[in-house]
Amino acid sequence: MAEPFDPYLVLQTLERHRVTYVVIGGLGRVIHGSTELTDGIDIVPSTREENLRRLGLALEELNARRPDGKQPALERDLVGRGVLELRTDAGELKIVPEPAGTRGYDDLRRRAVREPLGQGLRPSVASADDHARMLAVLAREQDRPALQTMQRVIELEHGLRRGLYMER
Amino acid sequence: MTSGTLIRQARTRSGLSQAELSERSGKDRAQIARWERDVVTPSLETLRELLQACGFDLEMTLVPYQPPDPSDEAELQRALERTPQERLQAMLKARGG
Repeated sequence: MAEPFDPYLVLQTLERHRVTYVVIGGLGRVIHGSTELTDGIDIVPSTREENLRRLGLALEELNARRPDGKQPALERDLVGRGVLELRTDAGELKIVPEPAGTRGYDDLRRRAVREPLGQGLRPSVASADDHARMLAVLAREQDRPALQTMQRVIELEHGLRRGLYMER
Repeated sequence: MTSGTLIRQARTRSGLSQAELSERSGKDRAQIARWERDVVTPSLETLRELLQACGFDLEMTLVPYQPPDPSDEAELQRALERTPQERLQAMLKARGG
């Protein structure tokens, strides 16, 4: 049986607390067209103090716990850590302050797109280019299919854009 | 991967702005922006110059071409015809959630 996963609940909670973030990882790739399955959400938050405070409130509402069962303390837990893995009542949530090959939120937000997901949600999702960039830098064998899919999405979207330009 | 992705990847990995890359490479900043957006495609020589200005080089080797699996390609095409909302809901349905 699949683990509970309710991305709408996680995203609605983040939005309600006015957290600024960009969605990356498996869920971001699915939104771009990848047909992989995922059990969680990966986000890159703005690491400004006020935003971390809001994120902390959202995590509290989602009953987020670290793998050791303790509640996260963001300002402490994010220091020197690549990824903060959490379990919430709505599934896995990974906080990634600076994904490989990027300079974090301010780097990704410029090309991120607000994607309509229903239920009034339009989260900011990292671009397909940035998803490919992150996977390429990690250079992990297990990411190869996801990287190939993102590269194909970019090619197809690029082809579509080219087609539009040619029609004009 | 497109040439635009490669240029942006090299530029951001070296921490350069488009203006700084323009200064280093002697290319027009607006043209760099167009290359990065894949509005136009630079020549191979220009691409290499840009990457070198970022501190990287382009290593090219011939490898056997593996066309995309037709069923994977068809699945991806179908996914791209859906809206982001439909893609998310299809994934949630597929995982039984």
